[in-house]
Amino acid sequence: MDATTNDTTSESFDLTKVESGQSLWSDAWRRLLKNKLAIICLCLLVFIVFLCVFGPIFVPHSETDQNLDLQAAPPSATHWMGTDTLGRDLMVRIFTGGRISLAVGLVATIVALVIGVSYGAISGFIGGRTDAVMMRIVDILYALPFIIFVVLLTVVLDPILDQPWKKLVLLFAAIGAVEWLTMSRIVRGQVASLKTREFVEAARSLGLSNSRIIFKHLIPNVLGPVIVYSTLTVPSIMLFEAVLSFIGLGVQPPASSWGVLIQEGADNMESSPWMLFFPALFFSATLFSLNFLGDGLRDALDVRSSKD
Amino acid sequence: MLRFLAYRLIQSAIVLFIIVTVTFFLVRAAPGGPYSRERAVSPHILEKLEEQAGLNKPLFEQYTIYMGNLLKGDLMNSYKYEGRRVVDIIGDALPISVNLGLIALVIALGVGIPTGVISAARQNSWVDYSFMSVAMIGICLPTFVLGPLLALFFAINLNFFNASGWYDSTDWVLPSLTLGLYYAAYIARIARGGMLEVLNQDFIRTARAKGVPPSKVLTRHALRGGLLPVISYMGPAFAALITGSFVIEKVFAIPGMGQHFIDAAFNRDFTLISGVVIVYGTLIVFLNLAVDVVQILIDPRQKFSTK
Repeated sequence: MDATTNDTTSESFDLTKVESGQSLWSDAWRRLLKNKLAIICLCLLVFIVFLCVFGPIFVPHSETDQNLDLQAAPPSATHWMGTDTLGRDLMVRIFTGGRISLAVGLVATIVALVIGVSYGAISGFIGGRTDAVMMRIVDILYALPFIIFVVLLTVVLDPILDQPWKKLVLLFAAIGAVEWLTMSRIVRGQVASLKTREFVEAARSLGLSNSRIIFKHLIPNVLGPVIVYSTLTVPSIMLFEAVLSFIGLGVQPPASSWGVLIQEGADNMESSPWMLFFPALFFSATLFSLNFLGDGLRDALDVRSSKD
Repeated sequence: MLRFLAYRLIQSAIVLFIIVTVTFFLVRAAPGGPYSRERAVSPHILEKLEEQAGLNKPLFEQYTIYMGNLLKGDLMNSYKYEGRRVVDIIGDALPISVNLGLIALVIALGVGIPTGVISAARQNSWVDYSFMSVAMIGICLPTFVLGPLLALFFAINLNFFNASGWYDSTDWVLPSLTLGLYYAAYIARIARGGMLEVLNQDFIRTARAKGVPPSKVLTRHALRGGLLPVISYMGPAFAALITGSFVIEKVFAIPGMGQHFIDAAFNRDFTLISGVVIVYGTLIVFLNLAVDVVQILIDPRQKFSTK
């Protein structure tokens, strides 16, 4: 999608073409470009993702290398961000830990997105009794203290989850299952008002099936709020993962995430404050840029803040 | 209003029933029991122990027994802390957590609302920008980063407070500040957004045109509508305060509910986990209900949208 929006942007600077009409997306992109803070955040985010994905290749240490002569050593020329208590290079651990934190944020958001958008769109489109029942179910799920169940689930299933990846899958599924609720409410509200519009009537008179109308015609029209809300969901999921890891229930060693690293740092902050500082810096910078980018997108796509 | 209350009460009852049932079967579905982590006991003794605790009965019978006791207000005995009733264990821990949560809530509202309202009243001024930047930094400094930082600075470097423990009232300061400031940042942003929306409406312009002084426009006319989003955030906020307290209790070594919850889950102390989850669930469900009622009292239009 990025490629196409870029194309339209370069066109939109050509003033003669402006009047020929602009798509919502090129318009939004132009507005976003004007928002300096959002663009800085976008760049920062891209930079952090780049570091986490490709960084470990360029660092001459591996995350499992232990240098027993340099345990908990402060930042130096060889170890830019110092080492941890086992003499592992902290910088490379932050990068590889970041991969997990970012992956959890991204994948769980996609899970929430798919469930929430489909559920909300179907509920809003069908309307009537089905809609009422489906939304009451959401109401009830909303009232459940899910976080407690997720914590319970991770503890209780601990012996079965002998491999780190199984635990990660559970994390994705559990967090995604919690976060789809708000998304479904947003989409439902939008779809319920869109379905009375003429283009839906036209599609129906052409004999399109309901599922085709929902997925081809209605959902593309609610992408604005969905994108904004997704951008804001990623940081809240990353935070949740970090909380779980911090209390020892999330990602397990030898794998690490920013939450795990922050927890290790907090344990050693008196003697080696850098162990807390650097992971916290990366984590906070990521949350910061995602939140501001989400705000910028909200303004650019002109999405009302109301949730209904 | 009565119909709404009846509907919400029924919903709350359903939710509580689901919470109790799911918790009951979830913890028992997991491998291992309360006695499996102790020093190797012979299978014979294990059987005897489980028989005593009623763990050898069919699962459904255990469930009906548990539910029967629950209706009488009895949460049964803990498996791990022998001879102690779950009600007593929770009775010791809950006041600590509630104490922490309430102070944090007062800080969150007391700092968050004025900050948000002032920012909205002086929109796009340097006051607004600096308040909102600080709030954003607050949101991006989660409790498990802020907590250790505060402890490092005020307790270890300056020696003002104890770094951990929960003995006298000075020990309340750092934990509740950590928990409260984080939500204060959230509330400030929500309050600002809500106030801005109201301040742009016609009736505010009318009030100003009539010559109502700005401070009165703000307090008498705008506040009521502008703080609605804050009130609807209170529901999720209570749940979040509870999760937040897991972290805070770990950082500052506070003997509250959060510690019990995690320990009990690790120990497979079935009755204690169920008890803690039931207490949490009831708290969250009824606080949510209270928030909804307050919301309708302030803004009767809500009744139709939440029906």
